[in-house]
Amino acid sequence: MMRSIFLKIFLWFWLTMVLIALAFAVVLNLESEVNPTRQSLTGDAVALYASSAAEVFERHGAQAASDFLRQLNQSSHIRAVLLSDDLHNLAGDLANPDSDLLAQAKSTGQTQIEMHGNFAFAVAPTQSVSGKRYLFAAELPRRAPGIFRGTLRQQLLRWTLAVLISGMVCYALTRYLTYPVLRLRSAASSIAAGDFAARAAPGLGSRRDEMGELVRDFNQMAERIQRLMDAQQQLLRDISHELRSPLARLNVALGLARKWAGEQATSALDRIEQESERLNEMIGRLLTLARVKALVDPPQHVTVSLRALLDQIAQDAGFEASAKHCQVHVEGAEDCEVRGSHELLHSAIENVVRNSVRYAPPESNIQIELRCDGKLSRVVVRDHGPGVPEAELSKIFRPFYRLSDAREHRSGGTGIGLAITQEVARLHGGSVSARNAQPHGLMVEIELPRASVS
Amino acid sequence: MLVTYLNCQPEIEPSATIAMERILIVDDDVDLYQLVTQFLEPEGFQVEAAHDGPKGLERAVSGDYSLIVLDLMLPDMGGLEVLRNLRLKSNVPVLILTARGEDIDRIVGLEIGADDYLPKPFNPRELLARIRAILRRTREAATRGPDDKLKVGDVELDPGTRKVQRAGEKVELTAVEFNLLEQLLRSAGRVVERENLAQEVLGRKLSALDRSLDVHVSNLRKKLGDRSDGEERIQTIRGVGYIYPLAEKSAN
Repeated sequence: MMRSIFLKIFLWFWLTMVLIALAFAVVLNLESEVNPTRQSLTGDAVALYASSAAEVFERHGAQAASDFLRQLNQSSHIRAVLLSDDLHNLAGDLANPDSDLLAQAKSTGQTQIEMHGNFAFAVAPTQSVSGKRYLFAAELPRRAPGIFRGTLRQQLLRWTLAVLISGMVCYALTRYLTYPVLRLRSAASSIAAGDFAARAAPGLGSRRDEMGELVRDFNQMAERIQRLMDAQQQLLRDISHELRSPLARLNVALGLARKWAGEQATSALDRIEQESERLNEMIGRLLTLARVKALVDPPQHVTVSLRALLDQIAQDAGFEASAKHCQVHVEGAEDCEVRGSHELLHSAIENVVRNSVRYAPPESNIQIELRCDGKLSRVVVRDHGPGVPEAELSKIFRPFYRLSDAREHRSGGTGIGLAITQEVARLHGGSVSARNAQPHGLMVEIELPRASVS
Repeated sequence: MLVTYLNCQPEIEPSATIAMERILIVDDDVDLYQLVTQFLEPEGFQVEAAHDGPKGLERAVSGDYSLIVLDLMLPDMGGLEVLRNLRLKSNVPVLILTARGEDIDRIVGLEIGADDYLPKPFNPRELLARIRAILRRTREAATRGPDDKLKVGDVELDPGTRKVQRAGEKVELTAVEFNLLEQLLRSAGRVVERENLAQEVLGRKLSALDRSLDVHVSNLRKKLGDRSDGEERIQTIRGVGYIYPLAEKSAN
């Protein structure tokens, strides 16, 4: 499959070569049949044999003429017979000379030639020095064009050799043409799979044709991509480190402040701790979002039971929800499995559930429904909160998107959770969408392809 | 009170005096070290610092510390490298700090032999709790006599000296691995629930995605090797916990 372009080009080349050879042979063959020059040459030769045979017959008798014709047969594979004007056999031997041809030659006084399969039949009228008329009938082996000559075995061998050699030539030619393409392809797919260090065969870069240039350009492009990706990853690590270091100091200082401060500072310190945690969460989510966006494939491929995952998330979120006297239920008894990263899938779904808990009015329910239809699994999270204006439904998956009525800000989300959900769903070959429920509330649906049942 | 626990130097004399536990912080953040020191000293710890990898390694193997707090992001020599080299020479308890927030660092850290981890930024009370959880058992060791030895099959564990032997040969375990094995051997033949095990061994609850305990169990399995009958020494009971089976008749 990978070499299909190779195969295609190779087969086309080879087929073309064999067809050209065949066509060439056929044309040669046809030409020898109709070529007037060749026919007249044959005619002249036959006429010469005819007059010689007649001369020998008149001077030395029938026996000598027969000897002459036998010699002719031995040297030139021409079987011939000398006939008198009234068609009596005078010398030589030929099974059944064509009577039409004889009559034609006799009436026109011209040499007649006719092709029959592997032989040519010729009849030449001739007149001896004494003025007597003779007819000379000959059967000539036809000289086939080179490749058609010889026995069946010889021909088979010849054709096999021709096909093999042309095959080899085509193979070399095709390899020369497609090698850079195949190498480029494999390098490109490595890069697409996330191996940014991959390069197309560097040896090809010294080729001085367009292919060589293409390889050089490709490698330069790969180099740039690698540098950009490395720089981005490095930046992420640095940001993470540089932002978290002051936060770490802040947290320890906060711990000290709690030890030393009096009662009345407690609520302010609580607030500092809460905001510091929020800042840390935001840094973590930003990093996750950036990391997930740079991926083309889930970092792990484990089989994840959605049912178990949802139960776990519901349990954790239920704890948070209980502060508002809300409950989180998982509905549907089915279980379906998804392949991918357990950690990312967990955070993708958890973000949606936490988002719902945040907007749920006190003493309401949050329902998580799991449905498995054919090749898809669907997780629908529904709350009974205020929902989202229709026009903004698709925008809530953008990072830091703020609803026009600023509800997001009031309830303290990081604004990145749903963006992560979208990226994780994409990474696993799925999607996420939101719609408003009746009479009010938001439904977020995550679609993920099910792990193939083997 | 035994303040130093080091398998590589078993001949060290257990100190009889009540000394402060010495802790080494390997972190390039000097300010953070000063703040942590201020926090930990009133709790009975003497805190010292090394601000790069090679120095940290040199001091960590010295045997002067009860516990090492190691940041994985260090100049010159990465924290994982320090840990790898440290584990060649010493089983001193190590708590790693990770700022990257990438799971892989923490898992690799635990696999190399860290006892526990804490993501940066951390709450100093949490740091204190983790340190105490790891050190609690090494402290308890001093109160144990030779009668408390546990023996299951060919594995023998002495809580007094904190040594483990398998078929008469010494097995080098980290503090947490030792605690884990002790818990499993005490309940040999019975299932120990994950939550209880985490509470006993790490002194904390595990979140849903925290695989720390499983990494420790996997390290322990590797160090103990398979039983002579080819069975695994520590079996996983999915969704519940672990069991150390009693297949071969044991004396206790």
